[in-house]
Amino acid sequence: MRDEKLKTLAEAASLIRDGTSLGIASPAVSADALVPMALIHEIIRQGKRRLVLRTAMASLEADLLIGGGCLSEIHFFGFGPCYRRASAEGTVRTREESEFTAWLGVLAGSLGIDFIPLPGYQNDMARERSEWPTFPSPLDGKELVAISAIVPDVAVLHVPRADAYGNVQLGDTNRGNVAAEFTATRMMQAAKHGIVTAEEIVPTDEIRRSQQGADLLYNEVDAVVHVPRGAHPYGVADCYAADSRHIKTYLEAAQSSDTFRKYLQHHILEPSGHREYLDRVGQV
Amino acid sequence: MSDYATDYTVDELVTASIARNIQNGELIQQGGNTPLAIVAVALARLTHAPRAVYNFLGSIDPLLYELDDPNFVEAGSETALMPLEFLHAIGMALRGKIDVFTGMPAQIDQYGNVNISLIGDPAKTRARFPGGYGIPDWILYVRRVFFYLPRHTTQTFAERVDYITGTGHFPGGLAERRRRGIPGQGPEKIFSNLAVLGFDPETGRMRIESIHPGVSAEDLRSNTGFELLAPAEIPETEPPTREQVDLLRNRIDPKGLRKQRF
Repeated sequence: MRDEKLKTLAEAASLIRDGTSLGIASPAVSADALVPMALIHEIIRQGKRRLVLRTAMASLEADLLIGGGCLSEIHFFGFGPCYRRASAEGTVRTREESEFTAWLGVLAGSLGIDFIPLPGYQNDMARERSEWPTFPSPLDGKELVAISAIVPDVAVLHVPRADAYGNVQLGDTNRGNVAAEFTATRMMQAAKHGIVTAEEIVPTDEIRRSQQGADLLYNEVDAVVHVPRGAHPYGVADCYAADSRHIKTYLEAAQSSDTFRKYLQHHILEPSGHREYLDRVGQV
Repeated sequence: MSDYATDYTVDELVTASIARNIQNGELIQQGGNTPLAIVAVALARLTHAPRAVYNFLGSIDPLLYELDDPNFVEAGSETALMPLEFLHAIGMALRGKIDVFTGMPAQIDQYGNVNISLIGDPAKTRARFPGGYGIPDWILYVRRVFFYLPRHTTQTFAERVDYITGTGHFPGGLAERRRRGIPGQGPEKIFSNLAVLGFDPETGRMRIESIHPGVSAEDLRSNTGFELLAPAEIPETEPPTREQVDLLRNRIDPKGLRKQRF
């Protein structure tokens, strides 16, 4: 509906229920991908459990969710210290995606169709997945694999600008970012619900007047949250650069469970919200 | 008579070997994190294959020849013929329009099945790699597939890979691959620090194409976890020319990106 959807981070995160699937619409392929880090922190703060993560590539944001104990399963390709530990301990189930399955799955989801057929698709990932059945083509009998649609219960995205209804501008952030450019809009369209956090909330007319117009329409979005510096430690093009020092701090802390716990406690669990987080990382 | 270099390193030999296998005008799809392949494509384009086209990150046909600029990715996107959109790349692959894929897996078996996912039991892994990314797809849909493995050991050339991230050949060879509806011809050449390997089209098994200068057949066999097919006379890998080595060191890759993992 074209209603105003402005919410707080806490209200928006409460739309995500334990045991549901969470799509990160713009994964951190580059340091300025549109990752809603403040919302990720709030998900961890609210102690979400048994989430199934859908993302094209897992970076720091996925690693934090794993270390924070929020995930039971991840569908992706990627890496990270907490992920490697969880994989060795068997605490998080991994379902790898390939480029074609991730992109075609999100495309099918965004089109509202159940699957996209691929000829001759075989490997150990396909063998493990009952949701990619093989079937003969009704046209010529050729064997096809049904790559089923990726439909997250909730998808999340951070953007430079949005209006109160959820019309969104992605800005230049994702230009040339092959993974995120596509998934930022397609995964939001594929998901049942969408949460957008924005650097700036602008009047609809400002979006109308700009050359590019909206990149994502209000009807894909259920909650809009105004979160300046909401991508930290990642950056947002034309707003602020990635905080590479903090990314390094994270990667060092995540090397062991003990140091990760301390990081989690100090940076995420103790702060009451994003403002206090920014205080602690020296960003105010 | 080519003017061969005498003081080359093994990464230069492998780069030159991959470059020689790229034909003029072919469209090459880049694999994730394969700096040596980027260098090999640039070398091919500066020598015998000026019309070779490269799909590099978000760009189609960037004019990438000198990789010493730390911003070469950006420079690539500025000179590209067009931006590479992923659905476009998927469509080109499925319609048979991508000629070559170059990748670097962690493990390979005698049929060219490759693993870049994990070591150990998938439910409780001993090691996790970044994951398949494009390898599971390109190995099926691109016409010619080249892999390079910088360290040839019985662990990397293994009797059995721990996980089949990418499907290679089958007992029954190319006919079996075709029967299963896989469009691409599968792994064609494997380049390691010891040898260049290929596959027997009838049995799908790995065979020796050539052994690098200074490496014995015994070295190669004792570092391979399965039996390699071999011709009666095993040729020596052609060394890089002086021109190739000069281009690599002084123009394309003075920083030595190609040396990663060698």
